[in-house]
Amino acid sequence: MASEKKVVFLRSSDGEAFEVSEEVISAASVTIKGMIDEESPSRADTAATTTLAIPNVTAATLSRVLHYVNKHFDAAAVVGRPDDYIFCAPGDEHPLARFDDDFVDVDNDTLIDLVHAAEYLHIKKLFDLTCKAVADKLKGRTIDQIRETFGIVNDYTVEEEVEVYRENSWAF
Amino acid sequence: MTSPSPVSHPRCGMEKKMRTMTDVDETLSGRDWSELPQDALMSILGKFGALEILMGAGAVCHSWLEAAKVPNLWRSVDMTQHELLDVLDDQGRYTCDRKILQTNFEVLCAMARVAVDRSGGQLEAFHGKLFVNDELLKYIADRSPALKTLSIISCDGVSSQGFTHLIAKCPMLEDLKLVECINLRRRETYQAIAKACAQLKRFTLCNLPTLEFLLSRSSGEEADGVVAMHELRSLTLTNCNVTNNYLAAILDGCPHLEVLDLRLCIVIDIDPTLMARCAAIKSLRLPA
Repeated sequence: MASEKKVVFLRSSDGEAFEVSEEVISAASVTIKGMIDEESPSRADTAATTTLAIPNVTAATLSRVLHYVNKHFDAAAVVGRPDDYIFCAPGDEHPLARFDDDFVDVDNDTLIDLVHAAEYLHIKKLFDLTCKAVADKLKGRTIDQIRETFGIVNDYTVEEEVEVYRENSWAF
Repeated sequence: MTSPSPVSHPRCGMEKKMRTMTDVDETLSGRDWSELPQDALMSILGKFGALEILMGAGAVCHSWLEAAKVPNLWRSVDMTQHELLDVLDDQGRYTCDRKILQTNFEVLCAMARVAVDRSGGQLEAFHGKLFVNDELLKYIADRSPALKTLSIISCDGVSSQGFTHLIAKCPMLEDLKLVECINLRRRETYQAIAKACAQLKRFTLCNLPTLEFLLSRSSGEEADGVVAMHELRSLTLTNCNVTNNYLAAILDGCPHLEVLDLRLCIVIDIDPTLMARCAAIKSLRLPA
């Protein structure tokens, strides 16, 4: 193994490049691991660093995702930096539970961007976390409240409307 | 992440392509929640109970409705927690008008039928409270050969006959919970369970503390049935009259028993012989 850790650059849809440890991002993202594996024959053992285009994710979202990834998948960071644990209440089941709560405490648009990014990049832990956060925002709301809060348009066709009303009449 | 979605939404795909050039506008006007990936919708809806999906998130728009119809979401249907079911006071009396109650129960039955339909024959667990009746049990029984777990709580509309019909059609039942179902409190019910549910591993029976029971003259009508549930791993009986002989018979009849909870039963003299016989039970709770 090389003594120096390999890094890759990820280029966001709006052209910003982010540096991240190859080992960490490979552990986190199935999609990027696949990209790296595809690249590796051409890279051989050269020192050149790889830049991967992530066309579906903006810089704002990508930087958030990498913040999460570095916290959760960089074993050295988790073990080596005791300040992570300062934020842990005694009842926290996971040392990063508090970090996760804060991480998804964002506005609706940011959250949805994170869901899309986690899905595209195949980062299962982040996908589960963000989906749960969306579910928490929807809990206890009626159909109309959900539509209003999240700007969802009722796009049923006439036939669907009839079917939905017949099947779900209690909901309206 | 889950496998590719079984439900496609062609319209969404087309809109997506047309919109790529107007991403900036999208950013200004907020994200389109209706275009969440199907995987994400499934994951989100999976965090809700059946009633929440049916009465809210699962019907807001086309793509969410499609996601809410995927059978996987409906393998386990819990209809015990909802404001429509908060109709009992501390004494167990109904707090609202009979007519309203009847309407609510009909609505809940209709929702349960939709849940069963959406499971596409894959229903594995059903939990219902108050509103379940014979008709609904028949609907479930005729469409759910894979049912493993069933809880019926305070359902006066379930008769011994209706219940027996279900268990005869659901031979995979492993986990059965009957709580305060007055019409099921009959010797024949328990015998039928033992006969029909050869795989039964967990049985929970919570009876109401009737006057007869409190006077300690109840007949232990479940006794014949329980001792014939030979595969039981876990047994909880509440407000049953369990004598020493009855307990001994349970231990003989259910050799695999690991959990036995009789805390709210009128039992028995707890003597050393009895305790010795219970030595193999991993979790044993007897009346204080």
